[in-house]
Amino acid sequence: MIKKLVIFTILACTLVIPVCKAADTQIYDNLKIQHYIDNVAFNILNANRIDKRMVFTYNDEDQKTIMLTDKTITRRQIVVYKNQINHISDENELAAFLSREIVKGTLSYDGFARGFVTSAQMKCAPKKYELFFDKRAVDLMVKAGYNPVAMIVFLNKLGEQKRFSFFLTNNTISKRMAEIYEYIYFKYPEYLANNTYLTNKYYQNFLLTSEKNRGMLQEKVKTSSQKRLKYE
Amino acid sequence: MNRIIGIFIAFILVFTGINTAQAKVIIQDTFVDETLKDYAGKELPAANPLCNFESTARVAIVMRPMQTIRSKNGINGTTVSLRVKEDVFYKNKLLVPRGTEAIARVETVATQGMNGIPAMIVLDRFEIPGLDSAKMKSSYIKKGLNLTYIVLPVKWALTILPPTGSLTNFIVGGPAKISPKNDVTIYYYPEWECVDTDFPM
Repeated sequence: MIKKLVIFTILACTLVIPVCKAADTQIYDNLKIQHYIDNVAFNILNANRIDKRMVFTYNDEDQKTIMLTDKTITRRQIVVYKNQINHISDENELAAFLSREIVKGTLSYDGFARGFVTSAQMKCAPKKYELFFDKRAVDLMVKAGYNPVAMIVFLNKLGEQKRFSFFLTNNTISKRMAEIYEYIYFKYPEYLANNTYLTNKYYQNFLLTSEKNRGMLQEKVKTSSQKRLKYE
Repeated sequence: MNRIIGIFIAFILVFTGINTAQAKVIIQDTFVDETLKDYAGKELPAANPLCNFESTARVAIVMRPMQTIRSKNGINGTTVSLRVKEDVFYKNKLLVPRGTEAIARVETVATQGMNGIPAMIVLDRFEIPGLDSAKMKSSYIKKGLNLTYIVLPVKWALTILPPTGSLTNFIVGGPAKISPKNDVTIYYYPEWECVDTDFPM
């Protein structure tokens, strides 16, 4: 009987311990990611003197395709999903993602009924606000000491490319990247002139795929035009 | 021995050869290289210093722009001049006299959109003589006429008659304008202690 008990205990231990260890490692990994997110996020909030409260949460699940509620505007809780963090390779890229959400969260405080109407607007017309968030996020990043070119790199890795921008509720990623590129070109040219991302393969891919859009900008600069470009 | 050294040198040459071959593959941004060559080697914009936000003492600085900024033709990054409207005192000490000329940047301009969404102009990075810009909460947003207050109720009311509700999508919000008649108010925190740090920490 004692023999059986000993064998059972040994078996149970050999089975349970690896499971516990795996769970511990998972928790430890999640803690590290959460700490990483908080550190960058609060740097951005403090450097930009943002006096609106927001929290940042790491969710170790993938983001669902259709999200009925956007927690950034309803609860000011910025959720970073596993499939998003998996694409992030440095602090600048994480800052790009978080800055964008911080702009959205800040704006959700603004206006009638503690920002209810503004939040409804953001839900109604995401396309309109998308470009505004991207541009403001670039400003936030620069003020916090992050490289805004990382936003192009991050978007190039994460965003899917849909077919027609005109009929969609969102802008195509290629258009957003081109708008960000133009924004950095005119406002923060130092980052492009001394581009640390130039040898980055994802940025190289952006250069490869954005030839047409960059050509339009080149023409605009040459002719000193003030017209808004219709990127594709 | 010589053979070993020879092989070693050949090895190094092969590897450096591969590296230079890889370096040549990189696509250069020639447009940036040509047009932004004045910025090459220039210092990157400084990050905002880290401050101790303990003090709640603040003073409002009211300014008026010296020119009109419109969302229709406002350009991101341009500089705007403003004039301080009233004397600014802190603990009976004059911080900024009336009429002082300040500058700010038009950070972002967003044009108006469908569903009654108004245009927006964001002013930031204020520079006022005698004041530390790091001690300011300075983001100022001016919006145009917000027609969403009309659009949303009408849209919801018309949901019983599809697709008439969707027609409200075509109502466009108002343009934004900051004129010399508008007060631009920002807040200055004189007691904040700021130190230059290497952000990100």
